[in-house]
Amino acid sequence: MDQLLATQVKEAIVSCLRLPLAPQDIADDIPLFGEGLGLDSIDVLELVLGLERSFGVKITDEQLGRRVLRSVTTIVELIEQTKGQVPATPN
Amino acid sequence: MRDNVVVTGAGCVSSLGIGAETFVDRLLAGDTGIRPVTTFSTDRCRSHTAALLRDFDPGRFLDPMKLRRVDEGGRLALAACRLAIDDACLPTRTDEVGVVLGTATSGLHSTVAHLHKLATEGPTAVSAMGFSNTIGNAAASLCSIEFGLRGPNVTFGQKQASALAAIAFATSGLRQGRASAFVCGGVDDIEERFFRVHDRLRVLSPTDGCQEASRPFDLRRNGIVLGTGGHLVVLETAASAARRGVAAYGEVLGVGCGGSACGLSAWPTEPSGIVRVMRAALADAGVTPSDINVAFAAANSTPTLDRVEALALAEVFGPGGVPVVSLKGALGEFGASGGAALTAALVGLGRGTLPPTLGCEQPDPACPVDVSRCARRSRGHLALINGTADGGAQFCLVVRAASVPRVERRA
Repeated sequence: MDQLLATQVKEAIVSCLRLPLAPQDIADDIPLFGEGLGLDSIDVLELVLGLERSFGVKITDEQLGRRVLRSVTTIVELIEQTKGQVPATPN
Repeated sequence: MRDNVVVTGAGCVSSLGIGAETFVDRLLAGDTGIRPVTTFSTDRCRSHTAALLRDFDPGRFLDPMKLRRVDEGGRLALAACRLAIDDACLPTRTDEVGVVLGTATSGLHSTVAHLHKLATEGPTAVSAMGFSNTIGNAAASLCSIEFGLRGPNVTFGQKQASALAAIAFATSGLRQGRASAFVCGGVDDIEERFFRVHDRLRVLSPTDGCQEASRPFDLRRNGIVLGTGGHLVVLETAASAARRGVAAYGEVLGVGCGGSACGLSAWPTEPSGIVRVMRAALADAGVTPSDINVAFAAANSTPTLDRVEALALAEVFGPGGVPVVSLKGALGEFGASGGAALTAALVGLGRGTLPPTLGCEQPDPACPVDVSRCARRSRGHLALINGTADGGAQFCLVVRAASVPRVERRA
């Protein structure tokens, strides 16, 4: 996993949800919701909008959201996957 | 027969400190909450002081994960609500308790932040949760959600008289059997733009370039100083308090509401509206002016209101007919001032002491009232509390402090 990208994702999570902790306190695989980081359903909307704003990824349906918004690792995977789908810009 | 309405708890998050006893201790000692503004820059302002919160740590009252979603007004409301509930030993998670909050500025911090984001970064940058905090009733709703208070939930925006409007409404609600208790009163926090607009409109002292201060009824008064704080009480039917076995600080005997129909942002220019509402509250309480031991005035260091209210007090009580106190010399002017006055009246008179009117050093002969300039002994336990909003909305309470202080009865 791209550690630089993971750090950026953690920073985005802390910033857009105004979490009372430091980005480095979030482990890569800790569950974001419920037990774990303790986020709740109200955070989902902010997180989806924040990830779109910061990384250009669109989480368009609930099924995708459930799969992706599990941990930092699953979010990074989606961003990497999305990047791979972007056609190379011609020079 | 209507049930009596008693005050069984008080919660103060104030410019004089945290908790009702601390608030009243410092008020009676002549402390002031007014000091130089440090929470934002007052560069290019004419005024530089306000009554700012003292010793307030929101983290003492709310879990950090919840705190991140609550703006300044909500934090004040939640903290004052918790203090009032704890003080009254009031059961929570019930349909029987409601919330009535008065505020002039709740939601303003979030509104300013929201609009700033929208203007500078566009609609995708704004926070969904931030938006919900921009709504004026967010603070009252947060109190309901946090403590499970499922009775009537109402917010009043009556500018400087907001808290008194809330307490008057809650009193009526209890008399009508709408709930067995209400957490009610006011919250207000100073937002930078709010301060700057008032400064620019020359509402704040100094309006005339003279020294800046809050000086109710003083010859040199020259505008208001803004205040901050959350002042909530638990208002309860006497039957409910008796059932629970809790001692009361005192009783709300009567309420009066009315208006002066003056200009939108103007103070009343003649006393008849204030007179009418005071007389309505006295009649509702079943007492005469001579029964009242102190009047807590709305006077806020503005040339007009102080003079007109003084004329109204003189008409009802006779010139110098009752000791008059204004807390705004110590606390400034804000929407929660009526809640502060209710706590000061009940706790202060329960101790047999009237608070001082800070800032009144040269009483204005055009204000024919006996201003209580220093803390002094009270001759009794009945108080009248006035609240006036610019625009003319007028509220009045008549209250009686318990003859034995609650703390002593608890012991």
